[in-house]
Amino acid sequence: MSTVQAATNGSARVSRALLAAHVRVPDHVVYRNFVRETVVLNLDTGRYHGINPTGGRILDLLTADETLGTAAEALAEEYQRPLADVERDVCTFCEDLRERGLIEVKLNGSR
Amino acid sequence: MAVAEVSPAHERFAVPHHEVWRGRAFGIALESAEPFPGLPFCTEGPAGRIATWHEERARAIDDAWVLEDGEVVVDLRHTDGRVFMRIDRRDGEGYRIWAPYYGRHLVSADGRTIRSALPNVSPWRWQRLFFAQTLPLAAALQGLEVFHASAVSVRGRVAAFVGSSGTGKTSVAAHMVALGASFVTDDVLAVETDGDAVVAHPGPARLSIEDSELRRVPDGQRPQLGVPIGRSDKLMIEPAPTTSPMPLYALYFLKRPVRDVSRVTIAEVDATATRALLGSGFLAYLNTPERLRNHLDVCSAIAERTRLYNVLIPSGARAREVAATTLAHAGSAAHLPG
Repeated sequence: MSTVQAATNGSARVSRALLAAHVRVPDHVVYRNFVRETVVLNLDTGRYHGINPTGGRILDLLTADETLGTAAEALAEEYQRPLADVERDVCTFCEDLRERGLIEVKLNGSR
Repeated sequence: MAVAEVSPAHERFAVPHHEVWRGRAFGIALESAEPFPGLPFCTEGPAGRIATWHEERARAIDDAWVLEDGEVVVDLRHTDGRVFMRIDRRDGEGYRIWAPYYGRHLVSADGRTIRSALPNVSPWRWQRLFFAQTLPLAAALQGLEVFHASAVSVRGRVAAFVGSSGTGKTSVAAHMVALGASFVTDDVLAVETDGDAVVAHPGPARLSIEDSELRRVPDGQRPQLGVPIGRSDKLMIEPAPTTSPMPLYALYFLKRPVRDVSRVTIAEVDATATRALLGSGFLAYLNTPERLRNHLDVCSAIAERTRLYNVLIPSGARAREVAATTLAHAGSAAHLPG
């Protein structure tokens, strides 16, 4: 099982378009929350990916139809951190998941 | 090697004549023309899950399955290259399991039909393959989740043991039975979710134990383990079978050897528990999307609804010490509300 960390020093480029994007979990991906981590399973490859609790919380928000931007606002409030930092972390995390084929990012609000 | 032959199974599980005999293990009923040694009789399949078993000639099995047409999913060899066990898969048709001297078995893709060609040896001997691979596969194909685990019941609830090879899952379970727990299964545990509960299904009445481990069971407690029915590399025992599924309330991860402890210690699980749980699945070659999803779902339910513990075992600690500590812990934990 590989690990995907929701980092606190994200490096992704943050743009208005990305923050307005929605995320979709593809049909070949399922995830379940465990006590200390969230496990994402790619049914096509049979590979498990472990996500730390912060990442699991981000995934929960994004699959509840939040945009990356509104998810970042909620997290900044929850964790009492600067919004700009959280936006960057959320975008970095989503980019990591997207590169692994675990989510699809829908730009321009398209579904 | 000399084989001690005692075959009490037919007598112990004898029932009045039925047109079809049904025995139960791993959450499914096995239908056969005659009583099947090692399986407790049952009247119907759990949740309608039934596998029909037919004994056939080897030629019939070979004619029904052309090896070259399948995909080899397991190919275990002795050090000299001879086949130890081979499993082939054909999409839509099922699986062929073969181990020299232990028989060959065809399991249909839905797990509802098993055809076996058996070697001319005592049932307990060929059943080692049947109960270790064939029947668990049929159960998994019918939706049960199977884990590489041994288990006992304490106060009507199941405690299971997982761990890598050599950590002593079977030995710990055997000593716990000798100390008063009830035998549930040896080496393969079938589990399913039922509403909010996680249910553990008994395995067949077979326990395979090292002679050296059996000698550590006091004479007065050995009858608790059951009746010896044969010996090869290990002693095969027929324990009193548990017949009903029971809630799984605790999973113990056996960790051996642990340097930081001086005696057997039971501790809360750490961050590695999720991976250990996911990694304790049995039949890794059964990797369809449906099975992978079910495995994740059942593991998630186990993590949420049962108690998970690490058993930290120092170097040199005996299985009996582990069993005594774990039995005391399980007995007290079983008092707690689910």
